[in-house]
Amino acid sequence: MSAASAAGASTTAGGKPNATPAAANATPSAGGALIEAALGNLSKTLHPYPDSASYTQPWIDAAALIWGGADGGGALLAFDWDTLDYRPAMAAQMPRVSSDGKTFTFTLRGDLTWSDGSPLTADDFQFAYEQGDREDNRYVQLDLLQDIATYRTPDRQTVEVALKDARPREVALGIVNIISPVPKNVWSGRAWNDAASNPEILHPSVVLGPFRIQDFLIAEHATFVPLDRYYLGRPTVPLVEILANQQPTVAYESLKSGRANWVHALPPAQYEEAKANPELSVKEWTAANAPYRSLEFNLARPFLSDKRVRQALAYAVNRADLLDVADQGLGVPQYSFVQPTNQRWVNNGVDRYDFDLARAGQLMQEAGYRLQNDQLLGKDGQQVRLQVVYPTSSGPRTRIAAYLQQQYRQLGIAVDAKGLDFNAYTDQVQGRHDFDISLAAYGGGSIDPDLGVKAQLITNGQQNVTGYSNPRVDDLFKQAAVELDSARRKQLYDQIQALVNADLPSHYLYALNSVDAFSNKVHGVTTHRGNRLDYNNALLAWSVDQ
Amino acid sequence: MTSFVVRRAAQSVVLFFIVISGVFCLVHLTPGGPEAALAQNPRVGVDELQQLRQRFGLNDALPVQYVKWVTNAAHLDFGQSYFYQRPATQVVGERLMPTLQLGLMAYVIALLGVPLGAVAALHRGRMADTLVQLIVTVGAAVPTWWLGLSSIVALNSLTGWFPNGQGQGNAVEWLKYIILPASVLGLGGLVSFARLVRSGVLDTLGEDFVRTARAKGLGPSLVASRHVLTNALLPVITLLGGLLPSVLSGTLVTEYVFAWPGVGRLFYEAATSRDYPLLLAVLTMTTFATILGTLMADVGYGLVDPRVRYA
Repeated sequence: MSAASAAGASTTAGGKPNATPAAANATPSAGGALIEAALGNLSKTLHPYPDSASYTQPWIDAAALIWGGADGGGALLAFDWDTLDYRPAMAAQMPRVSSDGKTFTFTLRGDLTWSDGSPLTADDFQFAYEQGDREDNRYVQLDLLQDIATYRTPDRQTVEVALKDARPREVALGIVNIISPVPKNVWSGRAWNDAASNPEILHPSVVLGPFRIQDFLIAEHATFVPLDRYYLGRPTVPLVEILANQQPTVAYESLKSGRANWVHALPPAQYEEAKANPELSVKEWTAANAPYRSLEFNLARPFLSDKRVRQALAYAVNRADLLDVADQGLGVPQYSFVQPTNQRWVNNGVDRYDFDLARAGQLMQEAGYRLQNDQLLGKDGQQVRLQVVYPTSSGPRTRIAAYLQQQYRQLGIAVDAKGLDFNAYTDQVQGRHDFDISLAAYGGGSIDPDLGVKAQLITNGQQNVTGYSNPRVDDLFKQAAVELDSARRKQLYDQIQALVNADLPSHYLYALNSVDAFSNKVHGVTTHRGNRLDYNNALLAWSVDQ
Repeated sequence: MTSFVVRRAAQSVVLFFIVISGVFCLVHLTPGGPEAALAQNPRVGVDELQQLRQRFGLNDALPVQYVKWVTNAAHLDFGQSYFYQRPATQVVGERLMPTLQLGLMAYVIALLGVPLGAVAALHRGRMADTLVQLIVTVGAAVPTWWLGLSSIVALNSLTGWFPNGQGQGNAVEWLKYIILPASVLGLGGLVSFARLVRSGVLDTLGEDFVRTARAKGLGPSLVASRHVLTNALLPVITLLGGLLPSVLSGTLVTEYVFAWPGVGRLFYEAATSRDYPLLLAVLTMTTFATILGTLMADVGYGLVDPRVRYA
């Protein structure tokens, strides 16, 4: 899996030299195991090229350990979440770019090997590209591969990728870096997607590293041991164990008791206690690609098609209160579709719709709705009712629904809060568009608007659940997708943010903090600007006391 | 007796068919198919969602899907799990052993309710009865999830005696892992058995034949074991049959709290992700176990109580 998928891109010029982790040349350590109490499942597959059904966070975590990972050493380049730019990984240096900006030529490092000691060559990249590009192999990022015109390997050390069109640097690097190598000698001739006949899919015998699988019981736990010959060095920890499917309280108790020493995404309910526990260390940060919450208005509904109504509904929400109520204050207010911490692309000058209940009531009156006996009457003389839908699997969104019921009651609006299980919620919102307000959560992927949020805002975009359509916004997105000048591109996204906030198809609430808790026995953990700790490279530097 | 068994077996086959047909329809009519959650991924386009539905065979009319499913299920082929990408029977098979271990161990613990109920009844109003009544009342009132979490905090985190998850290694290790979840899971059965047996024994103690046995000069222990318990235990047979499905299907809450890799958690996972082949495989197995358990209880009851055969 390449860096492009989860990392996205930035426009800073040039890549810094390959930053080999401090522990890269360290000798094997006698430290303790890193044990993560994971709240979710383990990945159902360890295929290096998953399809859309298998491309999950557990897969990304497992891939970070055995295939080099999304942001680590598993591709030609790695996305550096400190600088928000690419740097060389399996490539010896940043690629040479042709004068037309379409062809990128990489030279591989000379020390790349697979876990069995066989050399890793450009042939393995070529093989991976050929398999990933086949429609019947159903690779989840096939759409990005379709931007590639040719993928060639003139010799064992050279990879040459030509794009169909010149793209902005950060987008282009994301695309040309999409291919991670697959051990051709092992996978050639095997069924690519049939786990029943290809045991490599569930238990790869040859991997890249930095770890190899020791034990992988999908419903229970997985253990990984370091490879001696990983090209970035041997990991310091002698073992990584992931305990699967831990109930949140149990996960936290495991951390306290020493059964585990890491809980990723610590539940808010345990946050305060963990902070006060001298045996634990809580890492908390707001990432550039932080997940965020928003209200999505269904513009097909007559009541919500009036911009003044949407503005009134936005003014009636106090972001700070809501953040406290729903997510225990673990986040920062967000005012546009770009997270406030994504300094590369955020426009801080957009309309904010800060809490103002009087202004909200006034806007409703201007829109032709009158308040009578504490009820906002619609044009048919009946009280206005709104259906707010949300997935019941999300506790915070359940609380947001309750908050909206209270706030909108002050405008005289009755809110029907409708909780659904996740698939039913998605079907109701994205499939049938049967809702008034959807409580959404986005983010966590690319920081580049072209690779992520665009699908929510362009006409008929895949994730455009509001029905929003503004030809000017569509046109600006098109321009930004091919604009090669970084400063000009930033201006285009600034304009888009201003336009979208003025139209208000969605009301952006706040970006969420990432919170991880560790035992004090774990050393060397540093946060960065991505929403997940760098599971791949970081493990080369982390250490655990016995 | 043979005609009774044949009649009940035939009824069970018809019932099984009706139930799994209903289950098939309910599963497919639940809003949000397996592809719905994938629509949240901006990388997954509308075309791909359609291709997924096609690949999963979900674009056929429901009756067509049903006929295909029944035909294959008759050969124990429940299709490929959408997300595990392996035969559903294989995935269920992997989870069956942990669930059987947990279920049988819980069954053993639940059966402790029989002597407890008997002791309580035979010592009515005394300390033993009060203690059993206390266990029964608390056991019935405390939610499983709370009891599970509390026992983990007390006996796992604080003392480290009983670790979480499925045990590996020797019998002692295995027992250390299974004893907590099995106790929590078995407590419900223990409470039911204790209540049923206590009230059954109390009723039987007032019967004429018991008085006759005493009048013949039999000792209290002989009266209790030969005359009272053998009759009081008849209703327990029904309860034993009813426990079979829970042994096979697992219990979601217990498996979730104790991170036990069993069928109950698999069922939840399949239901939330709408993995129809997997979900239907689990439900078919559970339905089969429920109906088989009921049949066994009926036949068992018929064996010990001849009046039932003619009902």
